[in-house]
Amino acid sequence: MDRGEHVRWFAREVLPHEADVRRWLLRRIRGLPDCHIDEIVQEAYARLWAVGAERILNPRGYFFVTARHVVGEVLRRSRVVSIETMADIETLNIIDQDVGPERRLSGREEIERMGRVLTTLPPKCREAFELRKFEELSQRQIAQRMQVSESTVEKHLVKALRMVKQAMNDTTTAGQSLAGKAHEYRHGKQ
Amino acid sequence: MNTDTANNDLIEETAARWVMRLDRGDLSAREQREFDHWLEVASRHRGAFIGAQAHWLDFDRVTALAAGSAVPMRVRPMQYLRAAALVAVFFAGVLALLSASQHFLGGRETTGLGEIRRLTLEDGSTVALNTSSVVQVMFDRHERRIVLRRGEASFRVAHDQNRPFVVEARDVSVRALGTAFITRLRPQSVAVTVTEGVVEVVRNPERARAGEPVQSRRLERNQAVVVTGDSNPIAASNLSPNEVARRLAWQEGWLVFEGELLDHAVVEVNRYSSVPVVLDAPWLGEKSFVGVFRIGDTRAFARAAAAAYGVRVVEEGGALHLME
Repeated sequence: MDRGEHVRWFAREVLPHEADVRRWLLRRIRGLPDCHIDEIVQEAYARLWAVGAERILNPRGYFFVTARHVVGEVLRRSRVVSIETMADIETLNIIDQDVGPERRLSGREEIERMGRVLTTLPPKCREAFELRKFEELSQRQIAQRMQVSESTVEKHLVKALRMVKQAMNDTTTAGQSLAGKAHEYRHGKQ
Repeated sequence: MNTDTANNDLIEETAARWVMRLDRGDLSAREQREFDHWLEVASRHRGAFIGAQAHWLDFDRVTALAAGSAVPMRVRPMQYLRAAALVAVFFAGVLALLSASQHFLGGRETTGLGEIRRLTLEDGSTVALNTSSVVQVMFDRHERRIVLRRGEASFRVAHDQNRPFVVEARDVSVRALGTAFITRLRPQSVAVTVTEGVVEVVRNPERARAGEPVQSRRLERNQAVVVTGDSNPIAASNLSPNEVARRLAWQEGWLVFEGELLDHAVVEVNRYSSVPVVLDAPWLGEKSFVGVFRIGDTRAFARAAAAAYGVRVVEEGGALHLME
């Protein structure tokens, strides 16, 4: 598997579970700051990547297990975590509902979510993103079209990437909108 | 903004910058050094970059959906990938063994408690031997015969039209040409799961050789049978690819439970450990359980089950008791 295939595998098999892993961390560890959740996900991704796609038969389970392994390490390094939280980590196990059924967003919801966040981006930033992702222009072509430098296009896209990524991972809105109609989002992997 | 938050923000920003820089085109030599260095400094840098890059790629799927080409991009590639992964696991195993030593089997091979071993046979087939298992390899010019004496083994069979590959387990034989399957001896039954290709399961092969009528059943990919000691017909069941992957997870050192009764989960966990888990409260056995564990990490399993159902773990007399 070359690098491109590996990234595609990652996007397809691992990313869809990120919101659930974040939600699980939020629910199970009191007062866990967002930056630590980011760090746990980053560390878990580094490990999942190093293990390689071939060796991971159950990406969802593997992701949860890996996240559990790194929680302790990440929080012990940090200075803002209370003793109470540390006690919580010791009993942090992956059980039933955690790994359970996926709460994957439907395609329609994903489109709505992306659409919503695009409206909050600065106009130039949004234009660059749409030209790149919808029109499939290269960054150079976008620079010509928008009459700006390539590095400016790059900056717009960096901002768009971060904002859209965050919106797609948003645990709170996903949790709220999903709680009421969970049955619609249960995907067996048949 | 505290320093952790600021630092985290910087990492996310830098990761996104590299993703977009690479999206623009090839890096200069200097940029490449800078990028390599940044990746090397901390594992979370690598994770942040991989996450950002995978997200950037995944947006294509959403924009494609939005553009009206409502292509379900997930279903098919995923199944294809599973099959590819199995093959890859197979090759990795073979290469590792070949390079470690020219491992030619003659006769009996065993694994101890909690041990999992992968063997390469002289014809290129591979055997993964699960915990506390015994196989005996008896190859000759006409037949590749393996007897499972105890435990569980999965087989990936090298193609050889002239020499059928036959696994015998008690009174059941499983015959294959080029395929992959798992055979497991249980106290009262023999279970066979086919992960690739086709096999034929025969009850009482001795009688078949003597020309007497016997029961047999063809099994295809993602099918399983449990052959019991009585003379009931051999009934096959169809498995989801996910269930097949779950049944293979032990080869990777994992135990995966996806809603089995806790009773059954405990039996599985105890296969690998000298410190068994015991359910003191009988109602626990009826609960369904989900979790993923490293094989041999019996304590983690006991703690997770206790947390799930609000009971205690008490270690006593060389066992982990779950009690109220």
